Amino acid sequence: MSTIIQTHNLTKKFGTATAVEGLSLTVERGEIYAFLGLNGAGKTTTIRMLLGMIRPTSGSVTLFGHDLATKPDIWNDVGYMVETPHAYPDLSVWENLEIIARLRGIFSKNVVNEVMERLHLTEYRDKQAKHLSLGNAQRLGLAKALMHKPKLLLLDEPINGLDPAGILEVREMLQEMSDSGTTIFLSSHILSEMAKLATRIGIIHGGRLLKQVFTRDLSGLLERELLLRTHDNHAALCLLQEHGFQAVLNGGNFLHSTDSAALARPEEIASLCVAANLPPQHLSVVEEDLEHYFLRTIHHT
Amino acid sequence: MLHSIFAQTVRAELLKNKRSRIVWITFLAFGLAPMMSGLFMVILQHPEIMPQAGMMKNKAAAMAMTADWLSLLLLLSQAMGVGGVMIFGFVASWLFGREYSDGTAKDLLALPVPRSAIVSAKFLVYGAWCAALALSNVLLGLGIGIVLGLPNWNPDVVYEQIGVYAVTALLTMLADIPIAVFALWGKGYLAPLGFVVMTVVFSQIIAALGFGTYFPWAIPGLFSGAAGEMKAGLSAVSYGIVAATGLVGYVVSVWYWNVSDHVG
Repeated sequence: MSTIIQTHNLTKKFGTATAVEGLSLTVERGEIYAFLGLNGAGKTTTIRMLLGMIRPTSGSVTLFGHDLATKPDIWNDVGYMVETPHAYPDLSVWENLEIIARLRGIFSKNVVNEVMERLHLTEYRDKQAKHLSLGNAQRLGLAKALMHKPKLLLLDEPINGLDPAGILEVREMLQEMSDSGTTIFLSSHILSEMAKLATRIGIIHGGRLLKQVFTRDLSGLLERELLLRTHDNHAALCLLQEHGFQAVLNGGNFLHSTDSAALARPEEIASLCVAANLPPQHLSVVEEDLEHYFLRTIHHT
Repeated sequence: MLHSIFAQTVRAELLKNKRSRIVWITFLAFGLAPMMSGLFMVILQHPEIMPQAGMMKNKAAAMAMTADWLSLLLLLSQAMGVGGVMIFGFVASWLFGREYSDGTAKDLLALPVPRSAIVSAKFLVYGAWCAALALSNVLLGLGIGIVLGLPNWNPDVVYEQIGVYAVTALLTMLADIPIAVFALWGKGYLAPLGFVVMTVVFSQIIAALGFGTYFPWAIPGLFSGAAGEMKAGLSAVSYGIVAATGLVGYVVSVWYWNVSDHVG
């Protein structure tokens, strides 16, 4: 594997406010790295530093092993979309794409047609950008980022405004690009979507990178809980405790247990309840979702 | 290769203005100058038909003008020297400020084309736009003069006055280059437009105090003859100040676009 993005102790201060502090991360070729954080956590500032739009107060950024300042043609291999995508409002979809293609030195009718087709924008070819729906404006932003077939994609909230079909399309497209070796670094607040797409997740809060985790390891980190309801929860609680299972009745309609033995053998608990004439009206093992994991992570700092 | 990239950048810059109403607004607004000049000529030719136009009649008399080609061309130059600062300033504000109001500035920052080429392409379009405005006004003025049948067509005088007009346009164009810096720094139109208004106000005050020959935005007006004999006070220093203003404006614009933090 080769390193595509590397930051070392990246810090950005705006006056006395620290937007990003001591950020060190590495993204390898073909990875889909999702950057998760609340608004103001430092996601966009980080992406702008990776794109050379903001100069770090200290620390360093390298893309493809090169310092940004020393190799301007590095941008031939980078596609990006930062925050809400905008376009020249009076110009058509085609004209907006033509401008970017010319600035990238790759303009040809084929290039523009191909990317419009890929992003399902062909039918809006002559529509002025100011009349596009939010979802199609997002597609136009993605088309600008993808037209030169970059080796690295930096996307800030790429699925904002897309309908469920659009989200699926973009997910499949990014997955396909990743499979063919494109490295993707994206930020999003749609955490469940990131869990489906990313190979690795980084959680940023208050400008600091709190945790990085491979999504394949995520399920081992998510908390699980057994929920039980019977016609007499107090009796069920006593029953579980008599048999050595830890559980609590949190005032609601359910018994809650995070006891690893209970989580491992829910069928045993079902049998015990039935034998004690307390048949379960509800018995389930629920896994914490990514949102809860994310909030738990940032609140523990 | 670099030449080709710059050519593509200029084409992209031209394309951005393809359907822009601002282009036509500037031509219409600036076109009022030759039309007003033509109206002056009509008043001078036929003072009896516009008794209600007293102020304009008095103004024309105060300027000791007669209805002929020389007067018309003098008026065009003066309109360029004073009004041009505003219109050209508006053009610079639009070209550089629109990227922020349209939210497209960020699309221009991480590209294989050098950032300085993007700024230079904008200045090239600025120059072409201003030149087209200047040309359209002189053509409109000549057309109005022909329609009115103005007397005393003397090719030498006409060419000389068109030369004064062209130099006034060039000085105005150079003096307004720094307005781009305010658009980049203010990230939009407001700061540069505010600066344009300030230059017009200060030009009047500073010229009235007798220091207009050292104030870059007053110099085009003085050169055009708008302040009469004060034109004689212009020297190589004055022209050097305008050239330096343009150069500094260009260098600072390129530098600022290259090194500033682009957060908007």
